[in-house]
Amino acid sequence: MAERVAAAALMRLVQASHIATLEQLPQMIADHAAEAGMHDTAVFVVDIRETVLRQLTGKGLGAGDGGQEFTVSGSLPGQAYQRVNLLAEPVRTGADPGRRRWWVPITDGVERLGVLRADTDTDDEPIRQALRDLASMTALLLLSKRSFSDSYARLVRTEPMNVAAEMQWNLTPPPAYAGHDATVGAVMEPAYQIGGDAFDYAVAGDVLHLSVFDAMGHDTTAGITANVAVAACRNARRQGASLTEISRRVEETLNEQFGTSRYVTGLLADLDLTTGRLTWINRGHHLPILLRGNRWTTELPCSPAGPMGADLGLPVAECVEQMEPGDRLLLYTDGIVEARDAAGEEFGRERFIEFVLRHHSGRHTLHETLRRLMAAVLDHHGGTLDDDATVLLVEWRGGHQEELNP
Amino acid sequence: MSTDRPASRGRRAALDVDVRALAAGRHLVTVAGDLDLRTAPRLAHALQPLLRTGGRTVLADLSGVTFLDSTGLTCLIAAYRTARKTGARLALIAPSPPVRNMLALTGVDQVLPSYPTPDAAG
Repeated sequence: MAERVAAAALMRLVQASHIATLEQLPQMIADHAAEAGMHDTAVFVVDIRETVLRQLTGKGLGAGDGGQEFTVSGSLPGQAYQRVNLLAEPVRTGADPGRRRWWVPITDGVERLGVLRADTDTDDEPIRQALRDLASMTALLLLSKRSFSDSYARLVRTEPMNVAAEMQWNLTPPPAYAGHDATVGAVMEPAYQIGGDAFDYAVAGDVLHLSVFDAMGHDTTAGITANVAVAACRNARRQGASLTEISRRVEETLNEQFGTSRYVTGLLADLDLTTGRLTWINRGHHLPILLRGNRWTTELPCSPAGPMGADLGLPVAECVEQMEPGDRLLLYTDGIVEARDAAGEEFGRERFIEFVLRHHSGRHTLHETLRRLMAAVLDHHGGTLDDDATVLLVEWRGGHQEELNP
Repeated sequence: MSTDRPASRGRRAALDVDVRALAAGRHLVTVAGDLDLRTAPRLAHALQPLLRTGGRTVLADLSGVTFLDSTGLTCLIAAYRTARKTGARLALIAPSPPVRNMLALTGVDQVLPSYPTPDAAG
C-alpha cells in the first residue's frame, strides 16, 4: 500500500516537473515527497570539484540563497555521498525515537550529483526504497533542468572560471558512466582554469570509444584547439571512420584552422565490450597503463605517430591488446604525474598507479577513487596546478557485470 | 601541455643560442638553457633563416637544453617543416635527456635524427 502511494506521488512529481524551472524543483520535490511520508526534504548538489554539498533552495541567482552547506570530507551527508549509500542520522536524545533523518545519494547511473535529505516516521525497507526512488527521480529532474540553468552552474562553482574551462565543461561527457560490462570515470584539473586538456567517451553498439587530448599551451587558444580536436574526432567517428582515419581528420581540421602552429597529442581507443579487445592509436601521448588484478601493471606500447596538427606524415599504427575481465585501463595527461611539490618532487607515475590500486580495491568506487586521487595531486602541488591534469579510468568486467565496483 | 617550468617557477628564463659556420653550407647552432614559451622564439629566429636555403645542413646541438616544453617542441617541429619544404637538412646533436624523452614520447625523433657529435652527423 505504502509503495503504491509513493509510486503515485513520484508519477505526479514527474508530470508537474515538465514546465518547472530548476528553482522550483526543491519545493515541488518536497511537496510530493510529503505525500509519501518523506518530510522536510532538501536537495544538496555537489560542486564541480566534489568538495562541498550545497543546498538547492531555488532562491537567488545561484538558486542557493539561505541554504546550508556541508563538506564532502568530514560530514554525515558527505559520508553518504562518498559511500554512495543512504545513511540515517543518530537519534537525538529526547527526540521522537521513531523519527529518522536520512541522507540519500542522488545519482544518475553512477554519476553523483549530490545528496537528498528527508525525515521519516518509520525505518523499514519500504521507506528506504521510497527514499532511493525519490533520490533517483531527483537526479533525473536535476539533469533535465541543469543544461539550461545558469543558477545550477553558479551553485556548483566555488571559484571564478576561465573561458577555456567554460568550454571544456560543456565539451566533455559526464564524469561517470557504467553499463554494458564497463565503468568509466574521469577527472580534470584545474577545474576552473583548464587550458588544453579534454577527454571523451561514447558507446555505439558493443564498442566503447575512449580518447584523451592534450593541446599545446595553457591559454584560451589551447582550449579552442582541444574543442576543435574533440569535435573533429566525434564528427569522423559518427561517420564510421577508423581510429587512424579519425586522427587524420583531426589533424586536417587543426591544419585548416591553425596551420601547423597548434597541435594536440592524444590517445584514441576502441574497447569491444563483448570480447575485451582493445584497439588504440598513439598520437604522441603518454602510453595507456593497464592494471591487472591488484599487482600487475604495465604500459601498453604503441609507436607514436606524432601529435595531431604537427603534420609529421608518420604512419599510424593501430595497436591491439586483449583485456581480461576485471582489467582497468588508465589514460592520462602529463599534469597528473608531473605535478611537483614545494621541493620540486613529481607526484610521479608510480605514486599515481599505487594510489589507484590502493583506493580502488573494493573500499571505494572508481569515481570516489578518482575524486581522492585528484585531491591528493592538488594537495601535493600546494592546492593549485600549473598544468592541466586529466585521468580517464575504465574497468571492464567482461560478462561479470554484477561484480562491477561502480 | 605545460608552458611553465614547474620546478623553477619564478626563475628568470635563460637561453643561450650560438650560431657558427662549420663549412660552406654547414652550420652548428648550439643551444643551452630552458627552451620554453619565453625562449623558443629566439631559437626559431636563429634556425629559420638558415633553413630557408635548400641544400644547407643545420646541426642543432641540444646537449645543454635543461628543459623543453610544448612551445619548445613546436619550435623544433616548425624548423623540421621548413627544412622539409626547402630541402635543407636539420639534425640534432646530443640532445639532453629531457629533450630525448619529449622527442621519443611524441614521435618527433622519427623525423629529426640525432647524432652524438657534429662529425658523426656526416
